[in-house]
Amino acid sequence: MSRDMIVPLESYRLARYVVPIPCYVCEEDNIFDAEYCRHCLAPMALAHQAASQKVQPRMVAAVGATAVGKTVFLGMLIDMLSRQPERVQLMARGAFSITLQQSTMSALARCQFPQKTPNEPDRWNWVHCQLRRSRREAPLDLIVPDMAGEAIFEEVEHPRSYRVISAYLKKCAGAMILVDAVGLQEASSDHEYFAMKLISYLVELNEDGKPGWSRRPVALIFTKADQCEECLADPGAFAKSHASRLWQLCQERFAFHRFFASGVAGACAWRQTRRDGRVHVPLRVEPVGIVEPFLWLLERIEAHRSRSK
Amino acid sequence: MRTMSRNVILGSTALLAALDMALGWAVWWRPPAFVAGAVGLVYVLHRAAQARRRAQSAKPVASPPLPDEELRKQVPAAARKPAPNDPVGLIETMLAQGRYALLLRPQIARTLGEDQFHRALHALSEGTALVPEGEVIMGPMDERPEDGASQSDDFAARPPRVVRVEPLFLDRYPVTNRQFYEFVAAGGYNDPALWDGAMLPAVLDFVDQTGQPGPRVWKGGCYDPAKEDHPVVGVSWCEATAYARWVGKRLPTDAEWVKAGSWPVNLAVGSRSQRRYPWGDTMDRTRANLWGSGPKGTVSVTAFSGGVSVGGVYQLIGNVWEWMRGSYPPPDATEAGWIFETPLKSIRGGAFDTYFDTQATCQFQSGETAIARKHNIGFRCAVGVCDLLLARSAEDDAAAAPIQVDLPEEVPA
Repeated sequence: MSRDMIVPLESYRLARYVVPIPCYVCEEDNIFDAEYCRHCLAPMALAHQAASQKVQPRMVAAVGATAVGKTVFLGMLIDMLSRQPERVQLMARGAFSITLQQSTMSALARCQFPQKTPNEPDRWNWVHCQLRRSRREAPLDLIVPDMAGEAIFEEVEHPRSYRVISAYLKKCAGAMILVDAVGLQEASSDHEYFAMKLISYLVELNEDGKPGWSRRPVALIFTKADQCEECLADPGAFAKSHASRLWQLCQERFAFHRFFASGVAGACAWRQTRRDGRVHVPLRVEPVGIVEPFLWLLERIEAHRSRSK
Repeated sequence: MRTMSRNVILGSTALLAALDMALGWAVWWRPPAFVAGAVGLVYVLHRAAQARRRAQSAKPVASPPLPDEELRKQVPAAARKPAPNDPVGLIETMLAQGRYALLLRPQIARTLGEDQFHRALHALSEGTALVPEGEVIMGPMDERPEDGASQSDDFAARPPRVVRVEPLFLDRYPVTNRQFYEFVAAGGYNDPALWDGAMLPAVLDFVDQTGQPGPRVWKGGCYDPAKEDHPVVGVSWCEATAYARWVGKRLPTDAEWVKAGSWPVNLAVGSRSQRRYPWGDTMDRTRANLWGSGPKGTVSVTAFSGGVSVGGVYQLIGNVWEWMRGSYPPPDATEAGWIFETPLKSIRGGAFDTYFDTQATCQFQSGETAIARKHNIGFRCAVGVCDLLLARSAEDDAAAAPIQVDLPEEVPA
């Protein structure tokens, strides 16, 4: 037996589905309640937040090869800027923006590195945050995704295989290219060649006549420099001596670039665990050179914006 | 006068023999005599050749200027060498160099004058804190995973264990640049007896930024004058051990260090109260120089006095990591799975750039290779109570009388 019930037809709710919502990354139309863009798989929360708060967040990319340390670098950067309000204070917009920081910090506090970022874009951690600087009145909104190294590799090797990467990089105001300092020190050319491929990919990305990557600021960051004192002392000289092809390419391709060195773990070791097998673990956490490249990038982006006005 | 001189000579010979014996005791491992002699000779020849090469190929230093000669003359107050066969001068020099623990070794302490003995004792009580004997819990007793997991691999592999500690004196402060300079100026890097034979090849590489023997961050064989009372950093475990031997001490064991910091108290049978930090169980960043609470570098060893332990030891947490005597991970742990390219030595306490509170506790342990010379690792020394003579009998005082009675007469002459 059932009872009759009157359900009001709230047609005005249906009207929202008629109006398409453009994805903030690829600008393709999506329906109102889509969680991820059906074209590029970027989270639609970015578009909703931008629309509701009437701000146009700027985008900065952190790219590099697999296991170069993108997740650790970004997680640590966000946490340091959240804890250190003297120069730049970072505040997350939306709960999803804290996930990267949380997962990275809780792993490092236990002397573990965070899990490898999955290749599927809908499983990446995106950070939408507001940056407040003491000397400037207007806060800056920023979007930074933690992209998987293998996905970046695939996109560089086979352009348009990951639409979200190309769409995002086209809109970026600046980039941090991460390169493994230990790999370069051990004379492994693969790290250098991949960074060179990445640079070539970026430079060729904007084919529509707009100012391309040659005029955008790029910070080249040597990661794991805590295990390479020469790199920590003078990253520019290290690049010239250990990655001369990369150094030369940067001179030719980028008008605004600088080399930096960063490190998070004071020392590392390998460990055989029951659950994950052989894993690399940090023995302690002593961040160095994390904030400096980001602040330099922000300054250059601001300078670039004021020039273009 | 002749009697006095004879007494001086006899006293000096006895003292020097005793010193040699004590130094021999302080060195834990010694290769067979002929091997040690050969290695020592080779080492000295190498060091001399190296110094000659450096002098010949010396180039103008482009980086910041070296500390000038005037400064270097001022700094080594105790680096002057006593005259040969001058035991009083030798003792005074050793006291000024902070080598009181060596003077208090039973073999030497019995030959000291009463005043010298009491001055050495006073230096000991000023410079060190007594850590009483007792038990301490070692291992990750309070490092629980934050994500709700039942037990980490580390916790499972290294369950907490109780270790008994004998009474000891632990330095109140980490060894400072000034103190380490005494060792450098006294030729500590050129004395093979202070170094492990296996490490002698590495000693040649323990030079500062200008190629002089000394910590990695120094220049021209001298420290930055502004950092005179900062803890010495840029020294390897080998250098720390050599310094400790030179002053008649040793590096503390992990258990000794943890006991000094966490100050365990037995409340009842099987129940023990043990602090997480020297000042209590909660982190207070105003009490330690860690990331975000200090000037992003080392500070004076007397700063952050709020972080002093119950026993009166300063800066166990923060400022610089401290070398321990033992290995990382401890060999007695039921550990499996660590894969090290080179064996590591234990460090504890956290430094000015330590990011997490959980890595700046008394229990947290990290590791570093024995020859690493990091910008944030220093050390402090310890000496067992049983190794020192802290009270003398009437016979001891009588035996030491000739030196003490005669020498004051010689001074005016």
